Parts: sequence; structure tokens; C-alpha cells
Amino acid sequence: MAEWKNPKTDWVTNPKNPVAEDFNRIEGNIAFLKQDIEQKKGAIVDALNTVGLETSMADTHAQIAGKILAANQGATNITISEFATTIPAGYYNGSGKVVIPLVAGYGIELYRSGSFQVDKSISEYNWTKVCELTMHAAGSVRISFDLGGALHDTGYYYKGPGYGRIYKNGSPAGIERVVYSDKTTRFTEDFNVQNDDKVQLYLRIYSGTTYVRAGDLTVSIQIPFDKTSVVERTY
Amino acid sequence: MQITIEYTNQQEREQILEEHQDKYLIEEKNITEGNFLVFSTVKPIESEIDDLKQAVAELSIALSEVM
Repeated sequence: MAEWKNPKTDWVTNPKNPVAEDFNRIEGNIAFLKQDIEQKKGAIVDALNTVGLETSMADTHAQIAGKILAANQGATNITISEFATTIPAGYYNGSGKVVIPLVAGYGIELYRSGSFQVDKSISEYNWTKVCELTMHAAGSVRISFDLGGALHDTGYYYKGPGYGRIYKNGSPAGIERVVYSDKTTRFTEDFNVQNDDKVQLYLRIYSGTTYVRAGDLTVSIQIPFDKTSVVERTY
Repeated sequence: MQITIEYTNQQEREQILEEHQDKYLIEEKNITEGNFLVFSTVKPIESEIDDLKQAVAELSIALSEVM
């Protein structure tokens, strides 16, 4: 194995006729450098193969650099799609996130409200916001609420229609729900939401002697993967 | 007992509501899985109470007219 020998670097100030020993030192150092470069390249190639980045000694340094750059996944977000979601090979810049997608369903209740009531003194006959929820994630959610028909029970019984509707960011988003009696009906609908979306429940009455009530506004999702991938009966 | 019936359009919805007038509509779902109307054959307790309230109100009016 070639060894490194201190080079003579004063040929200008201390000239002499080169002899065989000088040429052996120069050629020896060149051999040493070639061997040293190959050894270090081998260490890099081994390390890259160990972390799953396929490279070989036949690759040039430029090709190896290209493969390293190509493995850069940047700020990739990884969305959980099954219980054990595989992380793609590569390296990341630290800004990506592991994201649990919102999938509409009944499995996980994220929010449940109390009750709300709207009458003429509050809103005249206009749509009135009674609840607003800010979403901090994106996907689809299942929103339900009870809607009680309008009535006024101070001696006489008026059963006018009462309205309820889900809005998103101040605009109607859900089906306009109406109940014509004083019975409570639960309405359920799925919505796509984005981060920072405002999900709102609006109510409206039809005549001055009635009110409309709502309650149990819920937002729910299901786990985003097949439950049997976690547990299933096998006996 | 609860009965859940799927519908695919507004006409079908109206027809189902018409056919099940003897039951109580307790829920309507418009979800990823489809559109459903949920009826109960049992009168909800709140309806019983409201019916009683209404009966009392009507009785009070009748009494005030008599007295």
C-alpha cells in the first residue's frame, strides 16, 4: 500500500536535479492519493447503500452527487393511509408533516355543542349565526345537529317552520333544513373543509310568534384506515 | 324500532315521507354513503310532552271561554 511522503515544495528556492528517489516520492504520493480517494468514495458508497440509496463504485462523483440530490424529498407531507404507513425513502428538510386526514364518519366525535334558540327579538327573520367552529385540519367531516320546529307555548300553539343550515366561511354550504312541527329532527351531512375554515350553524324563523331551536351540533370523523388492520377476531 | 330508508332524489324523498306518515322522522342523513331518512315507530318522549302541553293549552282556552 502506498504511503504518503512529505513532498518537496521548494524546487524554486532550493533547486536540484531530480533523482529516482524524487520520482518515486512523487509517483508514490499520486498512487496514495488515488487509493485514498477510492477508499473515501467506497465509504460514501457503502453509507448511501446502507440508507437505501443505491450507488456503486462505478458511479462518478458527479453521478453520486446527483443521486443524493435526487433523494431530497424536501418538505413532503406524509398522509396516514393505513395503521402502519410506510415513509418513502429519501431525506427531508424538516418542514414536512405527518398528517392524519379527516375522513367523515361516526367513529370519533371531535366536538359537541349545547343548545341554541333564535326568535324574532334576536334576528327578525334573517339567518342568524348561533355557533362557529374553526377547523385546524383539512379533509371531510360529518356534521350533525338537532333542529326543533318553531313553536310558542304561551297559551296558543303555533307550529311554524323553523330553518337551520350549515354555512362555511359565511356562505351557505349545507342543505337548507326545515321542520314544520315542534318535533326534533336530526340532520347529518358531510362537508369538505380546509385548514382555518369557519364552519357555522345558522338558524332562521318564519313568523314573529315562533322560535327555532337547535342543539347537539357535532363534528365527527372516522379513523382513516381499515379497523381490521389493527384488530380482528380470529377465533 | 327504527327504519332507515335510502333515497336518491327529491321525488323519491317526498314519496318515502308520504308513505311513512304514520311514523316519526327522527333523522335525515346526506352523507358520503348516501341519502337516508330515519323513521321511528315509537313516539319520541318530547312529542308526548309537547302533546300534553298542547292539550293543557287547549283545555285552558276552553275553560277561560266557559268561565
